[in-house]
Amino acid sequence: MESKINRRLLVVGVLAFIGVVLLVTTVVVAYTALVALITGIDGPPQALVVQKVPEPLENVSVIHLTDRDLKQHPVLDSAIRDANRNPDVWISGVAPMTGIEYLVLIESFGIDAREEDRPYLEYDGAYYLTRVLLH
Amino acid sequence: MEEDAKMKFGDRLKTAGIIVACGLAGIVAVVLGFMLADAFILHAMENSGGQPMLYVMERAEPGESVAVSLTEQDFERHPALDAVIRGEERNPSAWEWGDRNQRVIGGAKVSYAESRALHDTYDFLMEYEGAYYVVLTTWP
Repeated sequence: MESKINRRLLVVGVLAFIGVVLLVTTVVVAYTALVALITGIDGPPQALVVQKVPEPLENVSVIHLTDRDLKQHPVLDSAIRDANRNPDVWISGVAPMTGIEYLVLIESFGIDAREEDRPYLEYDGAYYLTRVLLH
Repeated sequence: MEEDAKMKFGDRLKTAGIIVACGLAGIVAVVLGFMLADAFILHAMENSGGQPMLYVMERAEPGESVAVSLTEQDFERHPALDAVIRGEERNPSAWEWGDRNQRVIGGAKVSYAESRALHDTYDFLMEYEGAYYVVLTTWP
């Protein structure tokens, strides 16, 4: 009788152990997948577009960017670099941005202002106009 | 009869004990699972090359919120906060206050651990030398 009970206990113990391992694995996989889904597998839904433009006429707001501005706003830095990737052509650069970066760029450089109110950005002698891309 | 009853009771006690033990093990397993997943996600994110940023937004008025004053201890514990609010990363935006009554006063790169610590610690309106600030982190 004793050995029967002991063997049953052993079986239950082993099954419980396997169950625990499976449970841990399931939780890890499910949680990781959920986080990946929420944080966006294909990246954030908005992007900053920066278009190189000729020096604007008078009566327009211009923000002169410093190196520190670019250091503090890697999205802007990335977009400007992208716009300059071909020095012979004036093209636009794109950089994806998270919701927080979007908010910060709005408050720092007015990227969401109406076209007529939006400030031009100047860096290293070149002028840029910003635009937000939503997808 | 009595011996039978004793054995049955002993059996039941063992079974109950096993069920409780399994339940506890299950709970521990789930908690462990979350902790492991968390560590794994952190590791994956850090190795993906992303760089969390700390930004501090200044609000013109506190509005309805109660502001908590920052102390020297806050600045000592969080050098990035110190740098942005009153140090070398203080860089108030040139863009006017506009109708939103707020402006970004600076930003700094921070580690994932520091980003989380700042995000969790400073989820309220802060005050320092008469100005009101909120902390924004790009992660989490």
